[in-house]
Amino acid sequence: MRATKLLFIISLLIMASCVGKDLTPATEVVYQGELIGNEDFTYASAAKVVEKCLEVKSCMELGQEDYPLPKIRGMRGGNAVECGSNDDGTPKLKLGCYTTDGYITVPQGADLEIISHECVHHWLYKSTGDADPLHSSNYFLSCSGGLSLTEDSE
Amino acid sequence: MWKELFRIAPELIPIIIQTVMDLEQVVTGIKRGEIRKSRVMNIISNILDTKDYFLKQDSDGQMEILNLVSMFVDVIVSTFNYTGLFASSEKLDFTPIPVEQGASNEGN
Repeated sequence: MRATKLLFIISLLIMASCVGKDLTPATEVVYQGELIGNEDFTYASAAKVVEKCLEVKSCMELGQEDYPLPKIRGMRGGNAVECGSNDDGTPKLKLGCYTTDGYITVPQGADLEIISHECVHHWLYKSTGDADPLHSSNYFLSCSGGLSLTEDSE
Repeated sequence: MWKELFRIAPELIPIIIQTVMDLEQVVTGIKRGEIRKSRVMNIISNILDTKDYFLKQDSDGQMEILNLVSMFVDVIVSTFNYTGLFASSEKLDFTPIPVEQGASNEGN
């Protein structure tokens, strides 16, 4: 029991060390459309983004399912995007946002790993009808982020 | 002490070699987190078995220790993912790139 408490305290300390990053809303749309690119234009990270999202799909054992890829909206002018609103009505700022219209919204210059997280929301929504905004699914641990417990990490 | 060590050496040496080989597999083996985690759990389980064997203890506490280690691995992984400590340094770039129509129409 003491060890459990110790683990909890350690994880809280590690998380607390990263709290306090100032988030500023990105407001200008740089790219909007298909994940792989539109008819006339694509974007520099398109191939890596598609690869990442398909990795997540495979990790979630949905590789055989014929679900469409999410769409993407790249924003600039800040390091976060508006994603819903807080209790007081102010916009909620996040590093990435998935909406059930199938769009992933992320700021320009964000870490590629954010795509993995948002793709978990997308594939969950396509497979279960629930995008799991509260992150209760284990797939957020096992299939997204820099470390993965159930899929190749390279 | 040395006498005792020599006595148990035939049993102890294969266990040490096996543990080293298991550790080597964790470090250099397949890069699947799931497999690595199970190997780490096996190593810890073997070490606990060995300890219990030589100290003539039962293994009541083993399951608790293994559960704690498993939880610890999960907490560490999720914490690192949450904080982005091992996040890739690759950044998203939405700089528009025109699609070369000619290239995509080749062969049609």
